[in-house]
Amino acid sequence: MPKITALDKTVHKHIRIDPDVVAGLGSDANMVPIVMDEFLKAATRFPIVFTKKAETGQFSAIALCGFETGENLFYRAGKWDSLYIPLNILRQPFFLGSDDQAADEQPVICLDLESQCISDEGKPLFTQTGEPETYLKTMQSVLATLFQGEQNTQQFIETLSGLDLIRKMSLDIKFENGETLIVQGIYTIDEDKLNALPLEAFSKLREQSLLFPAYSMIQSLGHIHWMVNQRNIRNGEAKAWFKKS
Amino acid sequence: MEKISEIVILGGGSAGWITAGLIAAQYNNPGSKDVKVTLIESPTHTPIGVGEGTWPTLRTTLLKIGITETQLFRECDASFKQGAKFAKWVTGKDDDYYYHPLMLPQNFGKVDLPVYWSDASNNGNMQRSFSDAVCVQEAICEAGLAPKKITTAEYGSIANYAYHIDSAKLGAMLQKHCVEKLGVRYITDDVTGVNARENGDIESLIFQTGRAVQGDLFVDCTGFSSLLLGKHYGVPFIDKSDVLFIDTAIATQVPYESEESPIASHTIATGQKAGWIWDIGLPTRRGVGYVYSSRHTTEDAAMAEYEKYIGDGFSDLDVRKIPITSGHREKFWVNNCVAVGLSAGFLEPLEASALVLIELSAEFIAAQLPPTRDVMDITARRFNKTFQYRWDRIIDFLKLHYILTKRTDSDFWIDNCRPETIPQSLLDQMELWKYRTPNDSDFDSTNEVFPAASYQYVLYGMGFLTRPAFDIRNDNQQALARSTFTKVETLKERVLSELPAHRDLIEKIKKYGMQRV
Repeated sequence: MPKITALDKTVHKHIRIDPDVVAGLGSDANMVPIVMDEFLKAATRFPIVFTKKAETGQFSAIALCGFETGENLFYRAGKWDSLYIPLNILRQPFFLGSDDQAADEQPVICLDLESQCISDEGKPLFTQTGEPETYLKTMQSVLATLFQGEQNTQQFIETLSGLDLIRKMSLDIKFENGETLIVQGIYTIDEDKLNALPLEAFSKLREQSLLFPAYSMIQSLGHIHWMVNQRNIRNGEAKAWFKKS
Repeated sequence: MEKISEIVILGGGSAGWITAGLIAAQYNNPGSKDVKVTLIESPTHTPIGVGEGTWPTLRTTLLKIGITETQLFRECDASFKQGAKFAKWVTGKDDDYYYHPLMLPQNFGKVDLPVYWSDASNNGNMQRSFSDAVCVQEAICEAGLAPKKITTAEYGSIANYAYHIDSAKLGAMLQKHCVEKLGVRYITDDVTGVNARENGDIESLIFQTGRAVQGDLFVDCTGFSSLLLGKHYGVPFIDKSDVLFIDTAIATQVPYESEESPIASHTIATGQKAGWIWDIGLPTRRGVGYVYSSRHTTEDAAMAEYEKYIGDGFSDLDVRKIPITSGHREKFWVNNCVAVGLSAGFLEPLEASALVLIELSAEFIAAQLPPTRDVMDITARRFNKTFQYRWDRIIDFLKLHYILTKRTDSDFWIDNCRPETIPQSLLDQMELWKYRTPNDSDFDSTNEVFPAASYQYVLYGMGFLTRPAFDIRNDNQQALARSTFTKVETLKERVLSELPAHRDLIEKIKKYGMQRV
């Protein structure tokens, strides 16, 4: 059970976080939420697509890591098989929450005290005098990027949606072992419609700096082939393993 | 050759605005100003509001007009409708009900399910009613669930659906959209006369303010008064009250107990002594009305039944009485004038045929808009033939609901079963359906208002027995039937666990909206 609390320099001054444990999270995540500000880096490795939040039906951006629940094809031998790890993994066990006690609505840094990332071997959060250590400063910056990035992503999605540029994707995959899979519930940018936009609307996307993330998303879909291949390799390995035993 | 370019619609309301919207959306787009649509509404006459029940066709209609589904829920007090539950139409007892869902029976057209359902019921291998055995929708309705999720795209479905709506609000929304987005010209004025051409065509309409509005095609959406088709052209009204006895409606709006009260996602139609009561759940209130035959009861007796149905708080409600006459005009398109909506005819509200007829008429006009006056008579003949057929089929289908009753507690039900009150076309069908189940070849049109599946739901819901004359049963079909019944149960389990409560979904739609894809 997670134990969520607001970070406090007095109460939590002895807490240490192990970055190696953090970087090892997400072994079973088939989708990791990401924000527009990290598209450039994430798109070099992951397919970036939209999915709908189950509770609201609103779109959010995710790095697609697996075809099924529990499957992360970018995770291998206890760690991420990627130079880039999404910020929503790296920020853990911290997140931004609202403080019920505070008068203003400024978000505060919260953490999960039950997180496996908390370890005596880890990096300290505070100096002797209660100032943030380097690790915490980095996390503050990550959380700030995510906070601003979330708003940027929402605006990106609203703009695309308003221009009717989001299309449904249906992946119909046949693996080498004959297994078939239909992946539903993912959406991408309609490249044809994007290219057919009237000049005025197209220019506006450029002015808003939304063209680059849009093309990054389209480009990133190529990684799906890598994922299919990776799954084929894993299926092959599993078969070999079954043979041995 | 005189090109048709000015279309004048007389009368607002659902009929006027749906017609304006469908024509304008198709022809009035920016860049091509070939066709101009003008709608003229009387400032003094308020539309009657054709009711609150719709057909799934409204989804396509609104999509064509350019209204988003989110908008419909936010502006029209809309809820989902997944069919109708008919209570007390067979025996009149408390456990007497059947469903007419909007989804086809599973594997419809591939296996003759009524035959195998009937066999299984007789063998004691089937405990479910026909609609509950062949389709998941009854279970969804009984559980009070919505037909889709918040993640389902606009106008997309998990279970087929239509809507219950506040028709006055629908009219207002369409008006705003037609005027602001589709370039429909809107005039409020009272029509006082007609300028006719030598050939009998309407040249222009004359208004109270002295203005005259010219047009090439006039659409009469003036409701029961039928100003152009009925009054100006004198096209006779064909009274169908010898078939459909209902001639009076009493209606009111009933508040919910609380803001969280569940909303039924189907129309509930409950049989009474001399008619039936509709019960339609909108998010903010229920619409409840009793339609009855004044030849079979008195107003006091009807009011007493009505009060008993509504229960506590009845005395505080404002009850409206509306006389109705079931029937239609002998023709619907004369010269350069076509009637859409109540001006063309009206049948009792059973199965919500009013709005769907408006959509079908408007759709026909938009799709087959005559390019010149020369060819208009051909279109008019086609229109009259098609809609004569459609009114007849709807009358047959509505009458079907009454003729299989076992109720003998009043003359209303007894008289309804008298063969002389049943159209010959329906008598013929019933004779044939003794030996085989209804299928699509029973009907002329590929675009039937009520398909064969609807007839199956009513027939077998009311306990009709078909004894196949040719024994069509075989092992393959038997196996397919069995696996179909199993499939329905598996699907039921899945949809019941994934679909949200009806009210919860409506609230989410209002708050977050739905996505286009």
